[in-house]
Amino acid sequence: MWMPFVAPLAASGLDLRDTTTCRSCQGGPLPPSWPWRVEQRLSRSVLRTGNNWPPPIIRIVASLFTPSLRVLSLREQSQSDAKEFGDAGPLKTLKGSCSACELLSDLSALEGQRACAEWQQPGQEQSDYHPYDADYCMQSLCPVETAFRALHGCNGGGENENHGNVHGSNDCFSNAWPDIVSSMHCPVVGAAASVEETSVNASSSSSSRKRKSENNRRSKENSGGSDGKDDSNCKRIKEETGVGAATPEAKRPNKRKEESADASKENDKAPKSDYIHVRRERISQRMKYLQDLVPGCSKITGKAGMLDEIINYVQSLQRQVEFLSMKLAAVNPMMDINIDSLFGGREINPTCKSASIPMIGMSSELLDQSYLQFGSLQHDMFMGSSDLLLRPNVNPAAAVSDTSLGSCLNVNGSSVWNTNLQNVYGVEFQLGRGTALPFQSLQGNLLPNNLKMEM
Amino acid sequence: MQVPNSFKLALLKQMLLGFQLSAVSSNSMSFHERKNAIKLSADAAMVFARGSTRWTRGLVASLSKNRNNEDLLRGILGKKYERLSLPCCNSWKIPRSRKILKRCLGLCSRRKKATGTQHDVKSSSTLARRLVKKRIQVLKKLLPGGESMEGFSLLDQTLDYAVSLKAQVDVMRRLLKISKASNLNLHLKEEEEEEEEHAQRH
Repeated sequence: MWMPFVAPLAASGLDLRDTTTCRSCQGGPLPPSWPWRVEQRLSRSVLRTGNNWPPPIIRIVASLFTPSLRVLSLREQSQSDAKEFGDAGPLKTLKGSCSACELLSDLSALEGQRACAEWQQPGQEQSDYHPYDADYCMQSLCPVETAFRALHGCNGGGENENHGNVHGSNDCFSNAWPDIVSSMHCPVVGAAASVEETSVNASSSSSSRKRKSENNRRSKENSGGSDGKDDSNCKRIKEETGVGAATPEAKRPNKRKEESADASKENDKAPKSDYIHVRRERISQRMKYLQDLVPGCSKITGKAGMLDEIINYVQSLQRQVEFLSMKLAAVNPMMDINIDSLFGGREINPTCKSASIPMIGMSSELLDQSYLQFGSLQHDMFMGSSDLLLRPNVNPAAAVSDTSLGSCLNVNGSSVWNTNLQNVYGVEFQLGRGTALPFQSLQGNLLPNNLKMEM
Repeated sequence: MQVPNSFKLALLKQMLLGFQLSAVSSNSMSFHERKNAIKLSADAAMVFARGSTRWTRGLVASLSKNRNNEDLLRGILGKKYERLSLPCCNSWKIPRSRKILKRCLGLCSRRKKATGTQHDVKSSSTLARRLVKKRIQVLKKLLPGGESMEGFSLLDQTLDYAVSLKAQVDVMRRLLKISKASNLNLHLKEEEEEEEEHAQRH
């Protein structure tokens, strides 16, 4: 039973002739004994030679022999990591919210405080949008990109030995992309600007796309674009024009083609340098986007550091979701909402630019449509609380005059959206006051009649 | 930011639908149950709003492992649920083939190196590679469905996921704020009315 393991063990240069009894095996055949030093040597050699054995065999060996071996190997690994890499192991990523605080404080002091669970203060609900938009616009993308490329050149070379053979063929397809898509590229870019405003209306809720064409266009203007960028730009812009459900399908088969071609192209090494280049560019572009996204990352150059920040950011976001869901659960009682009557068919016009007046005008209009029966008392209430909500979010257009259309839209759109929400909540708040009925009766019944019944 | 408003609206709408379906506002649920229902609604709403990507499918797969969640998931996702819970083709073959390749490459490189140098001194590139590898492993665990992704697609999906998470957090935060504001108003109005009644009696 032990025979298969003899050869690799012998190859690793360990002395197997030590006959002191093994703790668990009690003097059976090979391996007869694993004194502490042998264990140490084995684990060290396992770690050093790395890919010496396939992982399953390592695991089997570890599990069959004394359990301490396994523990030792892990401990050894973490110790050696700590020694060599400093405090850079995965332990770092398990730190608490303090790291998240540091992360976010670079963006704005308010954001950082929020991350440290100061949810209450209304003044801090200046939307995150502004720092982001400002940073984003003012950040020059070229130096970051070149820094990344330089770094990637040194580090990626080694990595690509492992990945390049597998992934090199990605790029033969990505080279093909521009041929297919470049013809659509020019007219699409022009259309995208005008479509952007209406895309919010046009795209259905189920096929909404991220507004990344903004980034793509800007980066194109600034840095002149490359093949790799063109690929993803074309992809994204294509999505933005509301091709909708077709494009995620188009994106997926592309990736699948690339992946399936990996296996077949593994032996083809000569034209790989081109693939590697394009692939590296795509990766560096993604890293750049991530750098823009994650607060406080503009100073960090280095793949490992960036990945670390990304990990911290994603973890902090996940924790925030947990925390917010706890808080929402604590809000008592949560009002039920008759969704179809409130959301259905109502489109929000995001193109209004001036700050407060159209918002409040819109809110009164919406009020008039459905909630007139509630009387003027509610109207005052709505206005009062809508002021509460709108004020922190409303920013004079002058302050954001230099920013792009998208950011303006976001600013105003969020105000609109808040107003809408306010109306939504106004309804059930009224419901909650009037009746003592349990809200379970509203379950599953989305007819507008329900509202009147509850009255 | 980078997320269109329609995304957030869809997210909100589905989340509220989820709250309604799971009856979070009733008093029959414990705090823990309510919190889980809210979180599930929020995640399902995010999946609905984003559509079909690798991380959304991974998230749906992990959420539907729990039998209790299935009804709510179906309710929120509707027709999309079937589409999203299909495993993507060759999802297990690709990582396995990659592992086999890496193993072979590793063995080949090990055989070449075994004749030559000692491994006492680690080159900086190896060090950097190790660091990056570790980070990537952690990232894979974080990202839903991340185990089967590699390299570029991993980064891409991370970006996507991070943006969606940010939008989700934003939506939830606003929801919380509004519900608190409405609660506050409610209390204030109640107090006012009590005072009025009190004044009327005297």
